Amino acid sequence: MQDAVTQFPWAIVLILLPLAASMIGFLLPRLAMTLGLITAVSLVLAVTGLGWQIHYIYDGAFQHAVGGWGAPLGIDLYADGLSLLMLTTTSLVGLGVSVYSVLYFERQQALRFWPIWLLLLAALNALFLSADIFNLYVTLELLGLAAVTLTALQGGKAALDGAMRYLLATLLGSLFYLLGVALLYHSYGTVDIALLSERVEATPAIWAALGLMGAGLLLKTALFPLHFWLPPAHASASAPVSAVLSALVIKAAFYILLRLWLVIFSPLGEGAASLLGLLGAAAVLWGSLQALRQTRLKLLIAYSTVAQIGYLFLAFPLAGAAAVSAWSAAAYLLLSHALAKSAMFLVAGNLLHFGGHDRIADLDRVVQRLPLTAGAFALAGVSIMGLPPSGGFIGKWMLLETALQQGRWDLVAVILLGGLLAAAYVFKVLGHALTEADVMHEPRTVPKIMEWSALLLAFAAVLLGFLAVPLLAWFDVSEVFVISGAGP
Amino acid sequence: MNWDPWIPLLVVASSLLPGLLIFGLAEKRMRLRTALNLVGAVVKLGLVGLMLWGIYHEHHYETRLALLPDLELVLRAGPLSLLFVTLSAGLWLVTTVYAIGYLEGSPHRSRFFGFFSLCVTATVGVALAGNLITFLLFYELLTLSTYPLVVHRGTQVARRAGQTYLIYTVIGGALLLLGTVWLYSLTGTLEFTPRGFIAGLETEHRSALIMIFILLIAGLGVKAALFPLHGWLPQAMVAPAPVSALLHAVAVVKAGAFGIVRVVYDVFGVETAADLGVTAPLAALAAFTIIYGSVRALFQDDLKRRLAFSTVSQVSYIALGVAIAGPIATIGGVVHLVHQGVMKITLFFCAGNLAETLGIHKISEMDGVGRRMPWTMAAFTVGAFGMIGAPPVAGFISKWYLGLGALEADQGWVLFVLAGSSLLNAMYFLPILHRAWFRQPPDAWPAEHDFGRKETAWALLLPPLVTAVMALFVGLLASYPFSPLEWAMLIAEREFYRP
Amino acid sequence: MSEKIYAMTLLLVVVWPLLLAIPILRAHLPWPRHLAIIPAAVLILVFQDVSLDLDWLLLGTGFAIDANVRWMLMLSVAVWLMAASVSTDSNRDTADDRAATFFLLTMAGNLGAVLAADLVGFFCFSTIMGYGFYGLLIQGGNAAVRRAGRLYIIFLVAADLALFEALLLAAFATQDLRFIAVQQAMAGSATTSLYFWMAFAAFVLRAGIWPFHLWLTSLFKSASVSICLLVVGLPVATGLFGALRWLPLGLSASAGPGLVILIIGITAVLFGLFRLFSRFSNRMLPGWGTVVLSGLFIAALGVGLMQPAVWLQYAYLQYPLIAGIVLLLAVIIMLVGDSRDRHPEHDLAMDRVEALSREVAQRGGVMLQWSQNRVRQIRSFGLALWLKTVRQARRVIDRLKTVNVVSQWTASITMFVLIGLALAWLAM
Repeated sequence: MQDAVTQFPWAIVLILLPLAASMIGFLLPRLAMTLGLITAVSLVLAVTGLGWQIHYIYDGAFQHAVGGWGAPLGIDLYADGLSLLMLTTTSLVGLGVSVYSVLYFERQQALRFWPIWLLLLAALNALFLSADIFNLYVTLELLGLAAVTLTALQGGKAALDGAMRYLLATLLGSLFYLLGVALLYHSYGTVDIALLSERVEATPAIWAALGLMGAGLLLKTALFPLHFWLPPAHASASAPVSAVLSALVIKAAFYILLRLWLVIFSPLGEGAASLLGLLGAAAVLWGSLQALRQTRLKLLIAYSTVAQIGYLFLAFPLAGAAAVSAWSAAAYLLLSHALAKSAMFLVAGNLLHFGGHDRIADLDRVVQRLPLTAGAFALAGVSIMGLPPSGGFIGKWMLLETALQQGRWDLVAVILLGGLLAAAYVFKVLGHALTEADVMHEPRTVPKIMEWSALLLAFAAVLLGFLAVPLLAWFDVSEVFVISGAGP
Repeated sequence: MNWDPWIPLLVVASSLLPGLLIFGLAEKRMRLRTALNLVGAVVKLGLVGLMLWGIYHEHHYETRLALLPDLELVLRAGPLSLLFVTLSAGLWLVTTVYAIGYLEGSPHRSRFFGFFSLCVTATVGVALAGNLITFLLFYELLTLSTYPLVVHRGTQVARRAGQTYLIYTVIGGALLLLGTVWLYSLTGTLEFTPRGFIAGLETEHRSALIMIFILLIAGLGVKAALFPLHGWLPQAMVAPAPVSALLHAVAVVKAGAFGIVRVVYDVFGVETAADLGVTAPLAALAAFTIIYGSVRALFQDDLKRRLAFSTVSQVSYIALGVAIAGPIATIGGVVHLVHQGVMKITLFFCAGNLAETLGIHKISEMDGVGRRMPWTMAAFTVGAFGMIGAPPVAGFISKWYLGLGALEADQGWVLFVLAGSSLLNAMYFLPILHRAWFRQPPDAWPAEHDFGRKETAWALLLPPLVTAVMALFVGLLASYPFSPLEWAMLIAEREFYRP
Repeated sequence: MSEKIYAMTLLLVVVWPLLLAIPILRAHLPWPRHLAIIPAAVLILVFQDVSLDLDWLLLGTGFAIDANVRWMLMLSVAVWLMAASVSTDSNRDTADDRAATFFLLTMAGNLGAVLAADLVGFFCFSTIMGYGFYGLLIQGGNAAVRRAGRLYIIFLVAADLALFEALLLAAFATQDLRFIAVQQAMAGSATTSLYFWMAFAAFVLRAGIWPFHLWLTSLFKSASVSICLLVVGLPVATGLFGALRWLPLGLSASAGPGLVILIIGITAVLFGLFRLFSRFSNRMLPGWGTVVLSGLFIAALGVGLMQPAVWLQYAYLQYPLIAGIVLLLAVIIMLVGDSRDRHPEHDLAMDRVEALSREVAQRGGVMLQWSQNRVRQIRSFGLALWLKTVRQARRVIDRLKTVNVVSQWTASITMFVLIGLALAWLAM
């Protein structure tokens, strides 16, 4: 039994299971939903198994050559603390969204939703397990296409507009990324990350590659000022899709950027890091201000995502002097944001389902009529604002501590201001939710499962506030420097 | 099994769990809700009593949970924590009874009592916090749990009042967070230690420490209603009376004042703070707030607003006592935590009674109320005399120690502030008493509810009487062992004399 | 054994009227006002010094009776008995019930103040007495009495403040707050003069000594017999008595202040005599008589300050003398009778005082209003400025937002390329 657990190729399961389920789902649409749920639950188990393996069997990093062919020709699977973090995020959010979607979609839409959703999950998992930059490109493309399809699922002009814009943006980004891959391959003859990290030197090719790949990935991460595609895509997508988009898809691009930065690009110069930090700060402020101005809930949450992504980029300038704490902070913020943001979008979905609209000013005592939903929004908001006790607070604290130790008062000011603005827009919603509106609407009942999935996701975000010590050990981001067979 | 490390956590949980359960109750499950509330309150009081007994017998109560790799969540029972916890637990029980009576027939009671319990959880957490980050955590939780109480009525006015409340408290929280993180980056620890834990840093980080002090006091001063951060308090009066009572006497305002006490004694250390030169401005600010609050109170016609400004004034006594930086002034400031709580809650209970039973909200409507509601007004009279500082009600004792402490610390100007404040208090409380007792009542009250032969419902009448008697006894029996005064002396001794 | 009984009696003197003051407890007792004074009467007959320490009460106080205090107790008992006989005695009428409550409360305060062994106890009980007396005035009097009561309470509040400050100064100088100890401590300490003037001012205000006698004399113009009795017995007698105990006299000489006080005293006496005889009326005899008495007392104080030895020489006379003269005034009041409240005299002096205070209040209100308006102006100006900046910022943001797809794409792609170039260049 013990051996079964430890020797089982959990990593393979993570990719193959959703892929297979997706295929079957395309062929036999009626089974798609059941398969989807089973997959979601299995993914959580698989991630736990993989984590177990990484920590107790392998020395912090797991590597597996697919088909027995190793690098530089074959495809390697690689998982370390950072990958584990992303995989955990994916599985948790995936579970929540899957449970939610059971009752959200109508028949016709559901038949098309589930296979594509499973495909997206497969792409995500494969991305997080990739060990070479070309594989990353393939999975990134797949991810992008699946996401676009899901966005367009809603149908209607607005949805198609948003999806189109998203498609163009994502293709542009991937194109530039591919150009960068080509440059690197041309210069160093390999696409394997480990090997590249050994061979990389400061040449014009590397600079150009950084420029191309960086720009492409920033576009896909929706960092200010390249965030223009995100709000329209969110405005018209259905709630579970928005949740996945904000919580997972853009994080995938961030993951790639981070991975490449740490392994290949970081010795290259702090000017780039400063630029990223600057853009991140601008994102925090711009996104929060825009969120404050919105009258529709989904757009407010979308702009909140723009702001929260900015926080992640604040770690770049700080990582030069204090790598572990800065990246741990970013990791924690990433995880908390994913959980909280998906919860928020699910709440928006509930409200749309309930009243047929998501105008903030007309939220009319939602707290009384949908207490679980309002509670979910409140808890998620606590994490977004960075108030204790929540995962967001832990991340914010670590970021502040690092910034103060390095005397970066500008970043401190941005972080605090961002928190205040976040409080402003979260409480704007809650304030309206607690008061009587002028206009009444005919409510529809919201299924309990939908409310509870949102609440549990939000609760998980808050719970993270108490689990910092074990989780930081589990997702040991300092280990990301160690790739077996290569030095930092 | 040794239960000692878990007791503080249980004290916090004893209102958290009923609160969460109450959220899930349907509106009409009144008896179950009342039972949960009261059981929680009694259990908490019992556990606090256990801790008191235990401390006397050399037990050690401390709960530690890892929060961050190098910081822990610490709940510890020491003399100062126990003072505040006992006050909170005792007054919570009384307020719960009152709230049950007050909200009879109001909508959204489950939600109300749920957040009520959360609010007390946060307060008790603030009281038992053993380091600054635990304090910060529960302090912010207090903001979050009191906001729904302030906007409970659900009107646009309430929403705007809640907005104001949030603006102040969230900004305050951000300042507090900044101060805490900065301090942590300088010292590497945040544990509350008697006489402070920044010893040795004054020389090299002097300006940083001064800035940190300002940040911390600003963050705490919002809740403690120091001028000019007091603006939210009069607006928050739109909340129902039990909420006002809780906010002013037990939870929010006290938490801010308690925080100031903690920061000056257990973070900076009184002597270090005096060395840094930050206690003198704090004393000046507190003195100004005392006078300012009283002057504003003089011009209010709305009863609850007048009491709100009176709170602004009275809570600054605590800050003043702390800032004078002498052992006797410490006693005065710390003991006023208890005294002001008991007196103020009496006044608010009475104001709530007047509003609920007779529809009276303004002082000009209070003519002759003493004939109609003698017991309520008797309790109000006791509270008012306490505020003025007339013996034997508790306020006299606090003013005594503050004045004496000021003389001892060579700050004679404080005596003028105290005298001025007493005079102003007399000027705005005595006319109320005169109206209530000696004028002819109108033909009809604004909105009378009939309670038969009784003055008002028992649940509304008993709490103010209980707290009025407490206010009286706490002053009368001040030299009795185990009185709040003796306790405050113990705290002052620990702070100043133990090496 | 007898010690304990005496101590219990001592305590009962104060506690018994307090208990009777609670309406429920005296509901079925006849003649509660007379009943309440019984323990005090008993105590007078106990010809020995008794003291009772109550460390747990307030800040550690107690009660004590010695030869001097006995005189004052006798006076108090006599006055209260007279007042009780003169007041109406039915306790079925609610208004009268309240009057009885205040009566008994004031009695408890008075007896407590007389028997108090230290400063704190005296302060506490005299405060109760003062406010209780105010209640009596407002409750049982006509409009003119109530007017006088308003002035009385203002003086009372001020006096209490001053007395509290004096108390703090004493506590700062010495731990033991019994009268003898305080007097000795204050005789030599640096804060003597501040303490002295504070306490002096307090008792002058309390006892209605010239020039703060207005409420006193206006009460005599229109109040009932029982109130007049209580006026001399309570504020005046207790005030004088308190001054004797609080002020550090006979221990050191201070000629300057002594002279000032002597002059004030003599002026008071002359003033009183003048007013008494310029428009002689029976009803005002005790009134101006009181002014004269207190003036005499002040003069004696002044002499005592200038010549402490003289003061000490006649120390044994002080208490009996005060008690005797106040008793005389009380008897006069009883004899003059109560035609007062049936034909109340119009009080011009009070009118003037009230008009003055109204004007002062108005001026103060106007000033405050002005400053409030200024503050409001500044605040709205600041707010307007802030709103303008916000609106400007919002306009700028809006302009940036109202770009259509094409130009947005152009801008975005340009930005995109620029960032790429920047990253590449910064990596160098």
